[in-house]
Amino acid sequence: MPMQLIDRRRFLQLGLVAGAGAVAASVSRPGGAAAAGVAGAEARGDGVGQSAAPVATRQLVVIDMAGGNDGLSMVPPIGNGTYHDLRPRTALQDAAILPLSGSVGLHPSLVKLKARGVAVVQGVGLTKPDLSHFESLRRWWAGDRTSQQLTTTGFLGRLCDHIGDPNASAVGVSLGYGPSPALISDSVSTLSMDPYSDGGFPRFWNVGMDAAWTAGWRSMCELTDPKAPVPFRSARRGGAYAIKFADDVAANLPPGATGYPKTDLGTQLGLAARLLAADTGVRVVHIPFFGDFDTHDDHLARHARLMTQLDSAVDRFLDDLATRGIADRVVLATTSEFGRRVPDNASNGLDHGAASFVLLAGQPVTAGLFGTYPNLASLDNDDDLKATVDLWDYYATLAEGWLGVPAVDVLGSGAKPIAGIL
Amino acid sequence: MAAPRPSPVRTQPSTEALIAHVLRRTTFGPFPGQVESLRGLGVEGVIDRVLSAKPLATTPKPPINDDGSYAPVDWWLDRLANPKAGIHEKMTWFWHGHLTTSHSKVFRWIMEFPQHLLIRKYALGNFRTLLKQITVDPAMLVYLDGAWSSANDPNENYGRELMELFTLGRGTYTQDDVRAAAQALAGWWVDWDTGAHGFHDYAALKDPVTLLGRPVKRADDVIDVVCDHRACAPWIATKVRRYFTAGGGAKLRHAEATRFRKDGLEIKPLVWGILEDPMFLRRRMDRPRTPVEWVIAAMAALGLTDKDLRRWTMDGMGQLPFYPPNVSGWPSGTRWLSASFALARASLAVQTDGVAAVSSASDPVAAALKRCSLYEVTPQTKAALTTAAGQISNADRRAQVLLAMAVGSPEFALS
Repeated sequence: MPMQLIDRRRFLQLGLVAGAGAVAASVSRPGGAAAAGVAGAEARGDGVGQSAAPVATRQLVVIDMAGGNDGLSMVPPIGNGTYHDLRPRTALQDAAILPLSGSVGLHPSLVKLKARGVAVVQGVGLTKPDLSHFESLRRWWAGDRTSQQLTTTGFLGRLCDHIGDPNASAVGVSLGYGPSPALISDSVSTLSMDPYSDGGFPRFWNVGMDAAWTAGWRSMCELTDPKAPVPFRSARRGGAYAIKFADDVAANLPPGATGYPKTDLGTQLGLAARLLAADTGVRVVHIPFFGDFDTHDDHLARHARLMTQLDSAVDRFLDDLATRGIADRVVLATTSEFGRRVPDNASNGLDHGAASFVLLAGQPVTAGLFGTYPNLASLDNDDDLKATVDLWDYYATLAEGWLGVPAVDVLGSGAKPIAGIL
Repeated sequence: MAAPRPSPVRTQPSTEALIAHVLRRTTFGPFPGQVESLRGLGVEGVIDRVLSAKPLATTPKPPINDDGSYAPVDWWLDRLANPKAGIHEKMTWFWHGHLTTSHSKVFRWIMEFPQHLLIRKYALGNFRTLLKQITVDPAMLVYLDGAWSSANDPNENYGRELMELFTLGRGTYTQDDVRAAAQALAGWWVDWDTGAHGFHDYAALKDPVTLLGRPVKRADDVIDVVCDHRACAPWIATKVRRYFTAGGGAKLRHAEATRFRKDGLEIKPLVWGILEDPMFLRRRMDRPRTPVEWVIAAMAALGLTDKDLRRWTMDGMGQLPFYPPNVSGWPSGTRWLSASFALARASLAVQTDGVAAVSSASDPVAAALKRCSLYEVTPQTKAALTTAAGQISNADRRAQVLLAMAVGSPEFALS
């Protein structure tokens, strides 16, 4: 499933050299609540700050790697003969892997994240995996681990409902082209923002024209008619929130930082930092990663490029948060609808798989390996990894462990945060 | 000014309103003046005209030797913006969103433009023939990784999406079927430099495998099995119906699918049946215009012709020809009405320089609405335009604001 990467952005990627990342010291805010305990880590990185901001101010950034990110390449095993046997064409060389423990490491391109320290959750997956992108995406977005639930909201949208200000023009923002199903909420506003725009409302050059135009827009979009057919209400609501968001949020964004890589992800994270720092009520930022993770062919080279993009953009973002003094209130987490097939195909690629790996980063995160590495010698009937950590437990870690939202309220009974990460 | 009403538009639709509806759904218009000029044909006459319109000429062709160029995109958009276009152009667009390929992965116009011509050729033809051809079309072989797949360790990408998205829908096949399809589809190659393609026996299946209960060995066998499957006709017929109208219950959809199968998966009678059903005229303004539909119609109404602006606006809204976001094409539904799209629409609207037909009109509000082919307008929108008109004394400036508002109105965002 190739994901969109439009040429306007391609130009930005190819036409400009990435600037050098500014180096900022890790700043921790005094007075923040102590971080949760750190028991349960199988191994631990070093140097990550332990202070976290008060729960009511915490924010979450989710990077959504739609297409199916290969967890076994992002967090490869070291010295594992089965891995090399099953992937004669696509295995990473042991010597190149950046070790996190004696038997597990990070992809060779994740140099900055390795140095910084990240939490790895191993073997995250759905209870009954499905090899379809679209069904798996739906479940990850909805927080539906078994496909038995019928929810109309998204997991991130429900988080926004619980923690957000109902009067805010946006509690959750997706930095892509159109709203994300992950952010569908019941009671608070969530919306999307073109990452290459400033979110301002378009103006006429002439003051009188502009006054008539903006007043006219507002009255066309006024929600005076609650019984109007749904498309009319949606059209008016979209117009009303466009101008409200422009007034409340876009007009109050602090300036962007320099030094981000000139990639889609760099642009998105640069904007995310401004939204998070603005104190306008934005609590959750969803970032669709515009890269093609669906590596049915030529996996090694393509995946390495994506890991490089992830590494440089996230590293710069975390520095930016520290410079802005908000590193203690932001956690970054990754998602992807599935990992990839363990044995490779003859196209030097990997077909759709099941359980995978996710990363968490940020000052409040305890670095290290969490959960149990899936057993490569005991695959499921489709030759995929069996999950060792349920999707719900990963999501509970973000909900309950970070944002203080009881997992039972946004997932269901039985969802438990993974101990020690946050 | 306007009192709340139970429904925004309650009056009986005029002939103009119905013609505007037909043109919104079956073309990328209506374009300024078009509804008035077709008024004499009556609604049925306009439907007949759209259905019988000849496909637009495909010559001269765009240059396809520069993969960084947008010439093929502009070439296609020029056809969408041509008021002479009929149903053929709308169905060509439909198939691009169904049997997708993207320039962001294929990156070879020498493969993608010929594929586009293939879709044009069969847009109202036979679905099975279209599918057989596109399955081994070079751009598709690259986009969904059929190229260089080998039957021993086959690449499953095309086999899965063929059944999940293109023909049957989830729940009708198993992972064993995906693998069997992938094995039988293997053996094809593509030359990246020339766009040539062909078949190698050595990479292909030696003995038949079982797909959905039938033996298959080659790509054509796979397509025959999925096209014969009972889920195929309903899957396609329902998607085509939803593309044109929200009307129609389960019974009608079943009858339509049955007829589509009996017609040997011929696309033309399926489309004719949907548009000639009386339901089609009743369900008006109940879905969003998608960005491509909206931008083409809006630029005509605003008097804007810049091709870069056209592409940039569509790109910023996430819908540009040859660049579907993923293999499932563009989503449908009210997402296109959300705030970020409203901002994008406003950004285009304010770029108008106005048009004489509005600035010189005795009733500039009516002229702006007419230019936008808005014949069913809520009192709320009309009142907003009237108020704005009263605030600007300069006729040219007033025309600009009124056009921007009409194009930015909730009504214009709907189809």
